[in-house]
Parts: sequence; structure tokens; C-alpha cells
Amino acid sequence: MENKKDALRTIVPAVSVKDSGKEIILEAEMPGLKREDIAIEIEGDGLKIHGKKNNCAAPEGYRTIWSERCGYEYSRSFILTEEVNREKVQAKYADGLLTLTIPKSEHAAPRKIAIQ
Amino acid sequence: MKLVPWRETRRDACDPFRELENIQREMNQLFNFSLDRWDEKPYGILESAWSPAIDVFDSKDNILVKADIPGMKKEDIEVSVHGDTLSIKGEKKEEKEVKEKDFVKTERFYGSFTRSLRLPSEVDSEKVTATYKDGVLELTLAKREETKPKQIKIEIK
Repeated sequence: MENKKDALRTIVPAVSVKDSGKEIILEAEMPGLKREDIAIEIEGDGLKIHGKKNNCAAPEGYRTIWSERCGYEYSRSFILTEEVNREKVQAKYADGLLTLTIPKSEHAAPRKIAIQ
Repeated sequence: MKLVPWRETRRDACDPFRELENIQREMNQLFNFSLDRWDEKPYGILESAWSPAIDVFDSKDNILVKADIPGMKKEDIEVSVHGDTLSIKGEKKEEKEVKEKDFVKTERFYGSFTRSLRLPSEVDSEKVTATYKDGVLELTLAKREETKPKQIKIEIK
């Protein structure tokens, strides 16, 4: 059983998806994360991105007056409708954007089969 | 003159529309998906525009403000201070390098945004430093000398 007290709120990050035919480029808005708190999982045809943002402590010497940007996690799942080359998936984190470049599998391209 | 009990002021951070937006966001999360259709506006009915989430911290000498503004260019963010009011403005520009044949869907917000807030005390507009990293704008604002709380020593006779 999950401890409700420790459960973080989930925020669905806004994403943009670009499909060039050869690869899919997914950009998710997940600002203010440490790289080690970001997780990307591909399992079967499922793709999950995840980022924890639970450091609510005020910086040293400061006290918190107002807080909106902590105590939650970014989480989103997708279904890959095409076969992808999961070995060559690249991830980048810059300016608060998580960018995944997902190349499509070459053998996922439509192939004509001749009837013998 | 009247004496009123001191309490922490949250007058500006308390924005009723933000509360409604939060409810909408929570509803969206129930479905683990945005209720908004992808082909429509990336924001809902209640959100007339996007505005960044912020944190405000206070110390003896400074006020620290952090704002989540993902995917920006430094030069597109504008910060201004007037007395104890801080304004963060900016414009998120959409990349134009998209080719015709590319299939694109986006929920990300593009356009101009603004967020203003009343700071817990007046700051020196000359002494503001700003950094932008990992999509977070961090502002350190020095408090004005005359508004810092002063300790008055009272001699007990």
C-alpha cells in the first residue's frame, strides 16, 4: 500500500510531438528538475516520462513566503503506435525541456509482400 | 492610529483564478491526460493565458523569487520592479523550423505572459540579480535599507 502522506501530486507536463517520418521528437515542459530526478522508461509499446520535484526546503537563510513549484511530480505515459529503435533513443534536458528523440525502427516501414 | 494583530500577508499570491486553474488541473490529472483537445488551444476556458508558477523566499536582506518558465530564451524575459511590485513578462516563441511534411501536435503554451506580485517589502530596483537555468528564472532582490525591520532597544527601568 502506498503511503498517502508521502504521495506527491502528479502534474501532467505539456508536451509537443513532432513526427518527421523517420523519428519522433517529444518535448515535455518539466522545469527546475535535477537530471538525476528524471526517469524515462520504455516497456513494450509504452513510454513513460517522470520527474520528481519534491525539494520544498527554502534555501539557507531564507524562509518560505509562498510556494507553488514543489511537492509534485511530473508524470506522463504514451503508447508508441509504431515500432521504434529503443537502443537509439536520445534524451536531452535543457531550459526545463526534456527532449526525447526516438528513431523509428527501419523494419517498421511498410513493406510490400508479393504473393507467390 | 490602530493596532492590528500581525499576520503574514498573502494578498497577492492569492489569486482566485489561479485556484480555479488548480482545480481544472486536478481534474485533468484524474484522467492522466489533458481534457483539452490537442487541436484546440493549449489552455482551458479558465486560463485566459498561461502564467508561471512561482516561489517566494524571504531573508533579512534579500527576497528570492523563483519562477518556472520552461523553454525560453534569456532575452525574451523581462523583469521590472516598481516599489514593492515585481513583474515578470515574456514571450514564448514557437520554433519556425518545422517542415511542412512534419506531423506536429503541441500542448505547449506560446505567446506572451505576465505575472505580477507584491513583494513582502520594498526592494532596491538597482540591486536585482537574475539568472535563468533549467527553465527556472531566479531573482535575488535586495531589500531597501529603510524598509528593513529595525530592532529598537528598549531600556527597562
